[in-house]
Amino acid sequence: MKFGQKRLGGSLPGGKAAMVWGGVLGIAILAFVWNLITIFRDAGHDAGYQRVVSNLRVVAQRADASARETVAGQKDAFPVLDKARRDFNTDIGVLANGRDDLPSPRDLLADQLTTLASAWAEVDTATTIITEREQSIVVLADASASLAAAIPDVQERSARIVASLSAGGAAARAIVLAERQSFIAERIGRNIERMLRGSSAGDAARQFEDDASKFLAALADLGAMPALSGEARAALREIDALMSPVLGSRQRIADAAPDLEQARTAAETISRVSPKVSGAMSGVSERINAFGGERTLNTASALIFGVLIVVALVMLGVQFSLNARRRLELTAQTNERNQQAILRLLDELAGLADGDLTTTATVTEDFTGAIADAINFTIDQLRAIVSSINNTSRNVSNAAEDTQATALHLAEAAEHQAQEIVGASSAINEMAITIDQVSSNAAESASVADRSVALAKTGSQVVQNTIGGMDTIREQIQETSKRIKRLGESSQEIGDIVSLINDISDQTNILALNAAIQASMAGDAGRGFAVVADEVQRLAERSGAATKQIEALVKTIQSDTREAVLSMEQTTSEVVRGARLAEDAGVALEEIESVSKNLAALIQNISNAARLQASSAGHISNTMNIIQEITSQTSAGTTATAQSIGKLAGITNDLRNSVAGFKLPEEARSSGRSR
Amino acid sequence: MPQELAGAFPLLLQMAARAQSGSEGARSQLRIQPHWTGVGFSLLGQQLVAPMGEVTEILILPPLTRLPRVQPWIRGLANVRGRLMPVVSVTAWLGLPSPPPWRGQRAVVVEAGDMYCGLIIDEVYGLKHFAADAYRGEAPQVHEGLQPLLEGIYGSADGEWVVFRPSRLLADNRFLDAAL
Repeated sequence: MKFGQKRLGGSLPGGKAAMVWGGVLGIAILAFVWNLITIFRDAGHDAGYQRVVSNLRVVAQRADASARETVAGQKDAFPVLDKARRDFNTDIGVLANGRDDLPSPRDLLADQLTTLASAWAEVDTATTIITEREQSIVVLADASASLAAAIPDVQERSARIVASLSAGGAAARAIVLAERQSFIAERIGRNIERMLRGSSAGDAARQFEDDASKFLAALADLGAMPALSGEARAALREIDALMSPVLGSRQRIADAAPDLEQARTAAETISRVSPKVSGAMSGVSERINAFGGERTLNTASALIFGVLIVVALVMLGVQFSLNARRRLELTAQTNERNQQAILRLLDELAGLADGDLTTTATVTEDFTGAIADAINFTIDQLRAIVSSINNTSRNVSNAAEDTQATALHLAEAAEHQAQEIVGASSAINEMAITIDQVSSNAAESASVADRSVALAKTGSQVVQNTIGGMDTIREQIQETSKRIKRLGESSQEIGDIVSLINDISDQTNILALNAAIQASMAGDAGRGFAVVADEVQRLAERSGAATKQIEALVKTIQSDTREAVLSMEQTTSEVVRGARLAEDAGVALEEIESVSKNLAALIQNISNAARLQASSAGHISNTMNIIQEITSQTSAGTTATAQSIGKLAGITNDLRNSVAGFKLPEEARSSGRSR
Repeated sequence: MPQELAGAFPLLLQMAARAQSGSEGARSQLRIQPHWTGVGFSLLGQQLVAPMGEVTEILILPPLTRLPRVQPWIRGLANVRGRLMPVVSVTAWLGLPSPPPWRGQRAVVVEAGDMYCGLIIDEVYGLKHFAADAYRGEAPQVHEGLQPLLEGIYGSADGEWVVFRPSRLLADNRFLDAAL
């Protein structure tokens, strides 16, 4: 592959030059940008410095003003002064060393900064002096203020005292003392003023001290005087109250004067130095303004970089155009070559469009070689795809056929199932009907069983009655039997008697016979006797016949009696048997009763169960309906499936037909290109 | 009504006949005819009649004293009003088994010279009167042993009566040879 070199485009030297100019351009742009950034940043810094400087200016002025105020005695100027001093120091520190957002301009400001610093140092010391003497100044100021306020009152009271003393006729010394008090007071006030003002403060302080002492002494003397009125004493006390606090600390006040002097000096120093400070600050400010030009990276350098950028762009453009021209030439050549190669490739692949997958492209060194290779690869893939499509479509076709057959089977089976379900449904309906019948029959049977129970009860009762009746019958029969037996016995007696009679008649008969025989033997003489004998024999015969009849009757009676007795015994036994049978019947009836009760219960159970079964049959019927629906759905679904499988088979065939146009090497070899 | 009259008259006749048959007094008139009288009895189931002249007496079977060393048909000796009478079983004499004794058994006493014996018969019916013209001389169909003792048959309303001659029995030598 010869891609890499071509990718760079253009010939080697042109490219390199372009790269160089490109690099230059890049660097110039970066530098320019960096320059701009730096300029802006420095401008910002300069603005910051200027702000610091202006701040310094303000602070210096404030310091100056507040120094004067402090010396003048204003207490609240001290913190201001102190704060101003600190601020100035802070800002000078910023100018010297920089800040978080400002770099140190010391390098550029060096001289001006030293000037400023030195100028400020004086101010700083002066300020420090002032602030150190704050206490004294304050004391002094307070004393002055209070005295200023008190002295008029003192004077007034002194006048009163004088008046009182003079009115009271006190000693002249006292009066003079009292009068002098007011002068002293006034002088004290004046001295304090002087101290404050600072003009010959030392003298003033001394004088003050003396005066103060004198005043207090005089006050004490006056106080000790006896000829004071109450009013005067009151006034003295008032004066004392007014002046003592101040004069009590006269020492301190006096000592404060030099401090004040010093402070005043310092204030003056500050005032004097202030212009210098401000001049130095102006110098700093100007210097800062001049920063712009002093820096390395300034507008000029930016301009230079800009120019460099433009130059680089121009050169780059030139180089690109040169490269482009060279490339165009090369491209034309390669186009020509490629066209040829492409035409060759197209010739080779002409057959591919017709679906001849047996073609292969020749892989050459041309750029089409890769394409040819890719196309070969594609052809191989296509072959593989086509053959796999064929196989797959065949498989799918077979599988679709199988599935279709199965689906049809399934549909048939579902149909069959539907029929079976219909049958089962109807069977269940019949079953439900039968169960209803059973239920109604069971209800009837229950009622029948109840009736049979009742009947069994009545039957049992009847049986009991029968048994009772049979017992009665049996007793009666037994009685009758006894009577008949007695009858029999009587007839037996009759029989005996009759047999006796029979014997008698027999004997009579024999006798008569013998008599007749004897009479016959006697001949004629015995004829009358023979008649008699004959008659006797006849009588005997009659008697015999009668006895025979009686015998027969008696026999009959006896036999009848026996028969009767027998029959009665039979009857008795029959009755007993009957009674037993009745008992058995009674037992059986009881059994029937219990059985009937059981039966009634069972029938009730059957009825309940039949009802439950009927409802179950209803449920089953519903379920069967649902199953039938499902089956019909299944059937429809299966038919649909079969149809879709058929469609699938059709589609597969279409697929196979779609790739049928492709010739594969094996097919081509086997069929010998006989399409 | 003529039919009723026709039905009524025979009825009256019947009633008259019945009355006549029921009457007993007319029997003696019937006996004016010549008749033969005999003692009717049964033996071996056969109705026999013995002539009046040969029968002396009819007896209820008396207590018998058994005789040793005599023929088995001699049942024993009986005391009849002080006279000894040998009692003979005709059936045994005929060689037939004797029927069991019963109350109606009688003994017919026959006398011939100084032969005085009783013959055990089954039953005596009494005097039998036959019309003389009711006699038939044919031989009856009876046991062969009995045959020589019988002579003739009399027919009557109540059956055929065979004439039995005890005298012939008494004349029999075998009968006379009673000793064993």
